[in-house]
Amino acid sequence: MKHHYFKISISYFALCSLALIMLIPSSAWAGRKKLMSVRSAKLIAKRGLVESVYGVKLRREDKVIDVVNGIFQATAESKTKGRLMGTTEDEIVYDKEKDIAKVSVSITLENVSALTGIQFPDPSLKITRVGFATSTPESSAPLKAIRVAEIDAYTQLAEEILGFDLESKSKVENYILTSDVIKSKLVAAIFMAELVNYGWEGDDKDAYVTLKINTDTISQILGQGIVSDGIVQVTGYGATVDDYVAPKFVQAPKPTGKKANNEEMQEPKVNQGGVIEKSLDVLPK
Amino acid sequence: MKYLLVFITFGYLISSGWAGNDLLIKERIEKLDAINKAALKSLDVDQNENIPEVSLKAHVIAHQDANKTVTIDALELDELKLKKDDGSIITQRAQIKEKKVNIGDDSSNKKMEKKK
Repeated sequence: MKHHYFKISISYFALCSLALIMLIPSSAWAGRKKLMSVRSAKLIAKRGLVESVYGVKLRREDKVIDVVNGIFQATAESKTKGRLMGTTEDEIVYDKEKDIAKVSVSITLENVSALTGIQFPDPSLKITRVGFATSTPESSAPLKAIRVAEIDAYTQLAEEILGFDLESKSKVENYILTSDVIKSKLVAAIFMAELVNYGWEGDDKDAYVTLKINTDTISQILGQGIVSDGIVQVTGYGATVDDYVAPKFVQAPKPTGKKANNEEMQEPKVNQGGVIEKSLDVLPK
Repeated sequence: MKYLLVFITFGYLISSGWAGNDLLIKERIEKLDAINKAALKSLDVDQNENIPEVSLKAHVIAHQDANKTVTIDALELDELKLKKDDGSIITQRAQIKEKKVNIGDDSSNKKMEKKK
């Protein structure tokens, strides 16, 4: 019996020692983590201001290879550069448990005028942007998603205000859609986007960012008309994980003139590439 | 061991709580499909068995409202090719449409249906 208690004590001691070893370094790093996360969040928030004040260059390409089966490829890139002066750090919040920093920064339109030379009707108004950052990889997924949502919102604004190149090709054979391809390409730069709202929605934790642009102000600044008038507001979304599995592309069989209920056409067969050809229940009901 | 299992399960539950991009991709495909259909509609193109092949290249300014209805605000046509069932090809180029064309969510979900 004593021997049994001795074994439990040894196990308890080992567990406590392990916990201590894990705790000591993390508490020692907590200060540096905080500084790094807050500093990164400040930079990210200021990048948002630069994107609003000087603009953001965007490139987005979407390719729907098969509309019916949802085979999709997309890329989006953003780029910005500019000098800021007279910004104010309105709020700095740090969550020690998750190692996530949130920083709100703003700049008055008066200061934007001083930087860019653009005159605004009400210079007392200000542009506010928020940045989130962490130095802990485990906490980074939702923060990456919010940047994705921000870029998605920028590209949607550009699509609605400036437009994009659309290319499509569809083919019907014997009343059957055998090919349907849609491509979109956007190369644009937009500025003066204002942050309306942001966050993570419901249980599924998709990040969202709502941005708006007053196209009347942009028209005045550019001295030319814009198709969209008034306030254009969009919400962009970003996912935290990649759970998209592209369906295998199966070329529709060439019509042979035989009826669809012909047994020969319904017979599943495996070709040399290992693709099983059979009827798929994928059409919308 | 028991604590380790609890820790792993908790970690899995947290990570599985994050949403994926699958639904967002589906929504994007639906939007592009609806814009494409609306663009063709604005050019008075109705793909059917008499026009089996349609290809479009255009610069489009479009928006989607909260009900997922797509509106074409402006369209600058680069090239529209219609291949008819008799093999002839009709090509249109350099056309500018500024009329607004709406296409609802229902039509964006409809795929080519067999006509009886």
